[in-house]
Amino acid sequence: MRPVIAAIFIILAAVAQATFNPQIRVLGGEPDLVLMFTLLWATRAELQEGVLLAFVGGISLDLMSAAPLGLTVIPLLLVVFGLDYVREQLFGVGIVTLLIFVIGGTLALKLISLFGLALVGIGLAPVQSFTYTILPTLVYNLVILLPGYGFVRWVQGRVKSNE
Amino acid sequence: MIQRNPRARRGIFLLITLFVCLVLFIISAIGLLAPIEGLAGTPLNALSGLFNRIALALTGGVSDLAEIQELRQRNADLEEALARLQPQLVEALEIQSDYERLADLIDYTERFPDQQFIAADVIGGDANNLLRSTTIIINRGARDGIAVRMPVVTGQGLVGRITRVSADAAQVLLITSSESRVSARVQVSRAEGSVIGNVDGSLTLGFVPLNAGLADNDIIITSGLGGNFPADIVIGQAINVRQTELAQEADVRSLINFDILEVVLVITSFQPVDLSVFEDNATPVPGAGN
Repeated sequence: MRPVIAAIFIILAAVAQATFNPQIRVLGGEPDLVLMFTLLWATRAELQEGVLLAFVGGISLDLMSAAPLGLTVIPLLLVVFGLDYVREQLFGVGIVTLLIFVIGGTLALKLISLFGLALVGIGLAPVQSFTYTILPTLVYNLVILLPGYGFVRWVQGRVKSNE
Repeated sequence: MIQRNPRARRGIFLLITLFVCLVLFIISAIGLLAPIEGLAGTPLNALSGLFNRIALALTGGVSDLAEIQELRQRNADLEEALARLQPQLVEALEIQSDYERLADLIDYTERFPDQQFIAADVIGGDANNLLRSTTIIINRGARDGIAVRMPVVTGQGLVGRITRVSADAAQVLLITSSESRVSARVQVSRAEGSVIGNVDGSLTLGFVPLNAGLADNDIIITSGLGGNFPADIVIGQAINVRQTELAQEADVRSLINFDILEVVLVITSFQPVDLSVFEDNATPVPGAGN
């Protein structure tokens, strides 16, 4: 049940990211709801749940964009596996780890997307993209980290208590 | 398997998933997945459309809220500016009002070049509220040449006469007082009568002969009979003309609002005639009481 609920949430996050975000865009930046939800959910979930979210969320985003299917899944998978690895090494995930993963995940997501888009012929100026889109997005993701964490913990707690 | 051996299997799992992604990426990039993508994207796009409508509604609401906030701020600014300007506006209106009154009084005095006037501010009414329509106090007295029985007027007509004088103030008996009797005349027909004050502050024209001309809207002026007032000062306008067995009566609507009198003119050049020496032999004359 919990993976299904998580998948529903990640789909809603993807749709919200495609629709709501343009309304709250600062420069070219907007919060990566799918990345953040996947990351925060994976902090307290099995690896398989994280992978599921990465696939469902990434493919949902790709279905609603011009990017080829699977492009967004790759950085999400790297984040989920990386987090699982770190969690195993550190026996948990703290706020500093989350901050690092938000920064790393955001950069990975955007850079891989830039690279993948370039592969299919959609060339974007890297430096301009970095200053106009990636940095504001990074700030957004850092801003929503704590409230997002609280929200995800609340959802996970509700799901767990219902099971 | 993977849960039991995470460190050993994680890499394989990662490679497999990445491989799947790469395959997806490649076949999607070359367009092989287009039909599937279209099919899979349909519910997402429908959901996206729904979210978009919600987003537009929300942003419209937020925009409206922001506009409301802006309007509230603007309203507050305007109210503040209004509060700052209100005293100036009141002052300007007061000046304008004073100007109009004084101009009116000057006009009036110019109509009677042979008479002398002293302008006086009304500084109070009667302290007893039962006598509100009876007397007023003005800020001119004996030191200014004010004397008892001097007529008091405004540009709109007759106000009353001086009844008491102190050094710096005087009391004016209003024509609306029930103690007041003013010899009057119908301006058009020249019919004589007497204007009497009533307790409610209204005026009544009485003792007009039955055969004399008196109609609604006739202007009633002082007749000068009795020697207490100069002739031809406007008292008011006749309304509600009626007949009794002996005479005609009418209500008189003064142009003066006695409740808001602020400035009056005292006619200092008028010398009331003392008829008291004839009182023993005199027969009552309509309107001669005042």
